[in-house]
Amino acid sequence: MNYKAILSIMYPKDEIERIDGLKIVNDNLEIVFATERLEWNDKLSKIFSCINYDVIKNNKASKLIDAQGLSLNYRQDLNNEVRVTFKDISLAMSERSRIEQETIIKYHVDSTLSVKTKDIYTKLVTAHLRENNRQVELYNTHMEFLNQCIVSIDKFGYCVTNAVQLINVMGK
Amino acid sequence: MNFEHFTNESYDLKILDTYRKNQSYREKIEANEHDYSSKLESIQTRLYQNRFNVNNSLNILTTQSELISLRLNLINEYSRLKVILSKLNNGLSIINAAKVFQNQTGFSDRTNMAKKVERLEKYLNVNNETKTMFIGYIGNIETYQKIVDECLFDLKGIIKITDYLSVF
Repeated sequence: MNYKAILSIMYPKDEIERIDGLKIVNDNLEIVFATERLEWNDKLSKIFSCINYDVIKNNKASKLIDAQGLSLNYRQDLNNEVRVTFKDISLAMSERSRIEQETIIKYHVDSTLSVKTKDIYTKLVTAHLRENNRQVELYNTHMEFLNQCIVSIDKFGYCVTNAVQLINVMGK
Repeated sequence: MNFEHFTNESYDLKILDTYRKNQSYREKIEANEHDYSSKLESIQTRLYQNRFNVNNSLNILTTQSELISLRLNLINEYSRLKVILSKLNNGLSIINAAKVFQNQTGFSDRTNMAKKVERLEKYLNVNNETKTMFIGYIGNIETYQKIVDECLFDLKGIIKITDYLSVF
């Protein structure tokens, strides 16, 4: 069996359509997540910039308290987003497992390729799953970003405590 | 799905293009790494020199603000790079499958086979090089983030000791 015949069995029209469709979904997800990252960056930068020379020198501690309150709200929002993203990850992973299993069976049954090693199977199956893997990776990266934002907010809490302590020191 | 296009002659140009892009990525990555390193060095100098000095407290405060902003930049950069890496992995999985198909079937056209194999190998190598470069950069970003976290942790102690010393 030649190359084209094997490809027509392993990559029928519906499989190509599935991969292309998922590629469009992933490209859109990439844009959505990039926008969300920028939004969070702006929001957090604003509250982080509250700890500055002016606030301490002129004793504007109320600004710090406002920022601290806002950071708690953001923390809640981030926690909600993490929960939603976690659900999306589990859906994407179970879909990937299903397609992986189907593809493996297909290579065993339909193909006349002389596939003998696990390494070759892995390479062939990974090519079918490439957009599924990318999707899981996109969700994981976004969740990692959200978790790191939560850690940054925690660190901001310590920074506020430090700033208040400094106000005290300077008042002595 | 056509894997055979990787062995087309037009891919000679694509290999060169990827090779040039790699060089440009390397320069950009080196510049970014230098930028982050200098920032961290400057912050650490301010943080650890003249520490425990009450008059230096405002400087410490500015440093704290810089550190937390830098942390935010680093997590953004990290996520951006991971997204690029997932795209690179995607491309590599197609090339790897093309290589398997080629080895298994010899493709449809057996003419100039050696040339085709060589082309596919080169394309795989330049793409692997891009991947390695990005993985290295991501590792460095993680290290910078750890340094920032440690500085933030130390800062807490420095302010406490400054507070204690200010009593005397």
